Amino acid sequence: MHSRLAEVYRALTAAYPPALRDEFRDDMVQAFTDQLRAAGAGRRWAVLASAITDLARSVPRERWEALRAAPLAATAGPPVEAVRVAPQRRQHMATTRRRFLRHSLALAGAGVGASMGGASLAFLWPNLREGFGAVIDAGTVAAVTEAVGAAGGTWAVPQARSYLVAYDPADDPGGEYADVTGGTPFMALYQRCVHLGCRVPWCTSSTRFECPCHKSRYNRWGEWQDGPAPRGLDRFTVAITEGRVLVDTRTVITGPSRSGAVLDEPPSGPSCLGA
Amino acid sequence: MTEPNAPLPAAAFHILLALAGGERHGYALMAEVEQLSDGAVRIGPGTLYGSIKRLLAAGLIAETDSRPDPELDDQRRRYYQLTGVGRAALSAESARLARLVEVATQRDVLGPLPRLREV
Repeated sequence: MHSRLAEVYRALTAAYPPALRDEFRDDMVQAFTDQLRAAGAGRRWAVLASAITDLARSVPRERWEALRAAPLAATAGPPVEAVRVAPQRRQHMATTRRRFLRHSLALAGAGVGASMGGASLAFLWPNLREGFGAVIDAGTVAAVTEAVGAAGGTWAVPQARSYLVAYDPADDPGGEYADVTGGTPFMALYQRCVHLGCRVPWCTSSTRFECPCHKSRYNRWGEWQDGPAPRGLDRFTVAITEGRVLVDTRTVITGPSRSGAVLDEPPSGPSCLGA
Repeated sequence: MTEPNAPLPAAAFHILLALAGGERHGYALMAEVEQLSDGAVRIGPGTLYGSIKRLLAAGLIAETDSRPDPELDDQRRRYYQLTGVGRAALSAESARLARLVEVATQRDVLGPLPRLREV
């Protein structure tokens, strides 16, 4: 893996002017490999991305330096008698212009390539550290307990795209949700309706999750009650670590089947969806 | 680096400063620069060797033959050290920055200094 990323980086260093490349390419690749080694497995792509950023910044500068440093004499024609000063100058200018254009083109190409490459990489970047798709810290146990209680047994955690609902193992004698709740008094339900993906709001009057799109309804534990949804709401594992409630949104756990409802809680009042 | 008294580019200054702590090879320089700036300055491989090339050409640093760390030695690695000229340039640039800090202090724009780690 190291050697493959190093090969990618080595290929990219072709954008540097030959003078720098010839002398320091191996050293650059070596430094890059050292960075990879120091960064460890999870940060390899971050190292490559920062190396590409560095490339995008330094290639134009190095190209410009090389252009400025290149002695004009090296590109001029062979020494000519003093009498023929005019043709020599014209030839000399033509060569410089061509050099200039060629370098500009290379520069523009490198710029376009680097920005496109950088953008694609940024797009492909897995978000492993924060936000949805990571382990989300919902708050301290005390704060979450209070919030869930105050909101009538469900509490939205927007950054985890979840509801945390109170879970009492006494209501779940078969232990259907023992794994997903991880021994905590909370269950995390994915807010996305398993029918066609609308966000499902909580209806306080009926104490049901009621999908406004096609009227799928789920009870407080996200179990299917009626409507077109094929099963209960999907969910995430919850854990309590060092007094904080963590919702693991890395893996979506498929909700219970229509017939798998455990919680026996009749609706407490009228639906929010009308008749 | 064209004029002798022009301010050093930031990358060059950091590299010289890192080399003032002893001879280093490429990656060690990058790591040292990041550490001595408390993570604020990161120099990538391309910027590093572009700067090294210019510093070598200006005679501020030189490649060294001695191998300071036989434990981690690697024949492929090139080590660099400060030259006398380089040390003078680093010292002049540090003095210039120190004067700026002094002015900043007089004009009362310098907040409480963050605690620097031992260098």
